[in-house]
Amino acid sequence: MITINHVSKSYVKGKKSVDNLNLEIKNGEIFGFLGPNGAGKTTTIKMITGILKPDEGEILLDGKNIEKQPVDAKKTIGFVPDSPDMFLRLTGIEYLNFIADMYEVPLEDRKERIEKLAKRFEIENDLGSSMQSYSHGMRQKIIVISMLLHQPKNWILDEPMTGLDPKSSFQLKELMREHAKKNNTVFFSTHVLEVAEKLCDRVGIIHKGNLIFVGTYEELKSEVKEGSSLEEMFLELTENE
Amino acid sequence: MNKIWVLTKVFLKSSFQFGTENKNTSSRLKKIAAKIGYGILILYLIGIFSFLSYQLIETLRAFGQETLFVGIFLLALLLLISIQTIFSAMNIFYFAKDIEQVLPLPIKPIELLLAKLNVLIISEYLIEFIFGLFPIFIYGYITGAGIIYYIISLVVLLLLPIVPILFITLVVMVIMRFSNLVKYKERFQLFINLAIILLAIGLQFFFTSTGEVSNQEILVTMTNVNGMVENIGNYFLVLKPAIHAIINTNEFIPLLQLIAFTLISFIIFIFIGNKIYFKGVIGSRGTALKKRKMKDKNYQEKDIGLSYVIKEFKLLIRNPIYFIQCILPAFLMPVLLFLPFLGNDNGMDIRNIAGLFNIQSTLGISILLSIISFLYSLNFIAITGISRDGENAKFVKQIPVSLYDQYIYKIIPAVFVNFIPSLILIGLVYYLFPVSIGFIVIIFLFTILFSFIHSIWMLWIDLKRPKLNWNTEYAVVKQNMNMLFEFIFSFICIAIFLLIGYLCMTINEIIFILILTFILTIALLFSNRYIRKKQDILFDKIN
Ligand SMILES: Nc1ncnc2c1ncn2[C@@H]1O[C@H](COP(=O)(O)OP(=O)(O)OP(=O)(O)O)[C@@H](O)[C@H]1O
Ligand SMILES: [Mg+2]
Repeated sequence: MITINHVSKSYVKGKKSVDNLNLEIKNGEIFGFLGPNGAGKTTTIKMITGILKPDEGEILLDGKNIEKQPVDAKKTIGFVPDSPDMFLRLTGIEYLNFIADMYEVPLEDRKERIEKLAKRFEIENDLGSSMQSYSHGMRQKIIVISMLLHQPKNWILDEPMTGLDPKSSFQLKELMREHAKKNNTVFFSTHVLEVAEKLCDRVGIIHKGNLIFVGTYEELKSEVKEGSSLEEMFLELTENE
Repeated sequence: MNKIWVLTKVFLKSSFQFGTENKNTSSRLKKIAAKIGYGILILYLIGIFSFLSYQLIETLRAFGQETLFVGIFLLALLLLISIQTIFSAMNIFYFAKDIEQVLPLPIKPIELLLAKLNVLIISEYLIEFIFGLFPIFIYGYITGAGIIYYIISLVVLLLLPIVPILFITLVVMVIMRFSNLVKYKERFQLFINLAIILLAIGLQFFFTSTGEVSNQEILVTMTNVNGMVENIGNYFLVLKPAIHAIINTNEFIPLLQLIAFTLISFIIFIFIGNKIYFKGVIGSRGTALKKRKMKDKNYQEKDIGLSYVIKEFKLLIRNPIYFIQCILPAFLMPVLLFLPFLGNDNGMDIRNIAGLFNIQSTLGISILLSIISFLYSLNFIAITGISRDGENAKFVKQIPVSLYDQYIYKIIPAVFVNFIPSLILIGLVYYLFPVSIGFIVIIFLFTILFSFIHSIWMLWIDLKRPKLNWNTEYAVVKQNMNMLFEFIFSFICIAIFLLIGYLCMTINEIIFILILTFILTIALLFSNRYIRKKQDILFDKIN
């Protein structure tokens, strides 16, 4: 469960990149975070994961304050950042072992999970190679796998579909569904409306740091003109400011 | 031709980037401050070298041997340029990320080659400007040389670096072209580079042991030095003509020789470079994917701290640029500095001289610690501990490991590498001086304490001024203002050690050791407490 209470952040004085954000994402829920470029999605995610400190407000992960109990709160998180270029000098398996060590995943568990996930993403025979030799998508897959090894209560992904081929993208969506079904929270940002439509239990739309809509996809449709396409809906909402 | 200059400018900009740390937050004032900082550092270096040259010329003049200066000076300059080129050629020509950016543009291989060559030559000219120009002028002034001297020496200075640069770059190009055929490309490249460096040191060793700098009579020594310069001159094609061009300004043959050598090398360089450079550039990127199944032994569980430190080491060692810039100097420098003491024949002499000095005294201990402080300042691991990760630096905040623990894990590689200069120095002390084992142990313990303190504060500097948006790994180490602070820190430590040593000169050395132990322990405890308490705030800039 992710609780965001009155959170604001500005990088430059006077210009709030995130403005008084309130959100609660419950267990078992897949939440899609939508918004145009520069809306504040990454900033919000960085604050949830403890990379950035909010200027105001508090963020709780399963009731643990990310600022006051960072280590405990971070244990509940699996975070897939927007750039998958992590420690490329390591081989895939070295990276996975390293991350598993950081989250103290027992040997048997990590072995089983790595084997299963690598097979699903069809990279089980590439794990021994340096990640420098990986394509963008392969790197993305490694990060996704690494962030599932400790079975996080809160799985947070920043634009996870970019760079994945249709098959892998499908696999990832399946994983997200399965993860939420086990009573975990899944929170991800995206530009792609179709993904949000098919996958999310609820969506939030952020524009210029303000949350302008939260609700189910059905509710979103009823807010805008009858029969407008996804893009039109999105544009309508973000332009009526 | 025009394209070459445009390219050169682009490359120069990307390799001498000022204040790119935080484009949004760094104010103009900060940029100006950084430039002033560089300016002061450069002036300071120019001042020191001018002064040293002046002293040396005057001393030699007292014996009517001032022309010797030209030989010694040009040799030192040439060595400096060669070492600098060995360290940077591979990066400039192959690893720099700016190459990737220009590769899709319609550029002829030869244009890329020449633009890169310009970058290397210009950066060596910068070094010449700092270390070479003023001593030569001072020499001209003292010997009352005419205008023709200044013109000729300028031409010589402009030509001098070219042949070594061309030669070393050619070797590098051959290596890179050849290494594409090898499976473990990067390791092979690193290995060859190491071999070149070791060879360079080996040559130096060879010269110091045949040079026989004895302590008999100063004039004998001088002719020896002259002989040594001549000797080495045989290995550096351009050294002799350069020396003679400057000493005998009324003869034009040496200068013509120098020009001819440069031209011929340039033609060879263009001829071969045109054939192999571009292929090497394209082939040198990326490593091959090798398909293979995971076995049980590939899955390993380690303790968090151990796993973290091993990761840090892997990233350091597997990246050839980090390896060459951060780890190598830590043991090259002490070896280079101490090698002269270990020459085969004169070892005895030096031990006799050393015997006159009591190292087991307050002053001796302070001097040893000062040397250690200087040697540690060449270890760039801690001061780049955060910056090396670049965009990945925020990883430290993602994982459920306390920032204090990670602070410690990050300095451990630095502390480890510091063992190398410590052990070399201690070994040398043991070899040269009649000291007790107890003394060695105590000095060793001091160096460990100091190593921790040093590394903690170096990482602190990096956290205060991280350089995360670099576009080549080289920039993290080479174009990083923070190094200035590392040198200032070591300078202050040296001042403190010497001051304490001086103040306690009359005190019994056992008590002095107790005082030092006390000071170092308190400093370490304080530093540790500080980072533990401030861990949240210290990492604020990483996001
Ligand atoms: N390090 C930074 N310094 C200053 N301003 C920043 C920084 N990072 C982001 N911003 C600003 O904050 C705002 C929100 O940026 P953010 O990265 O959160 O957007 P985003 O919704 O993730 O966009 P995208 O879809 O492009 O990823 C933007 O206006 C951006 O310019
Ligand atoms: Mg973003």
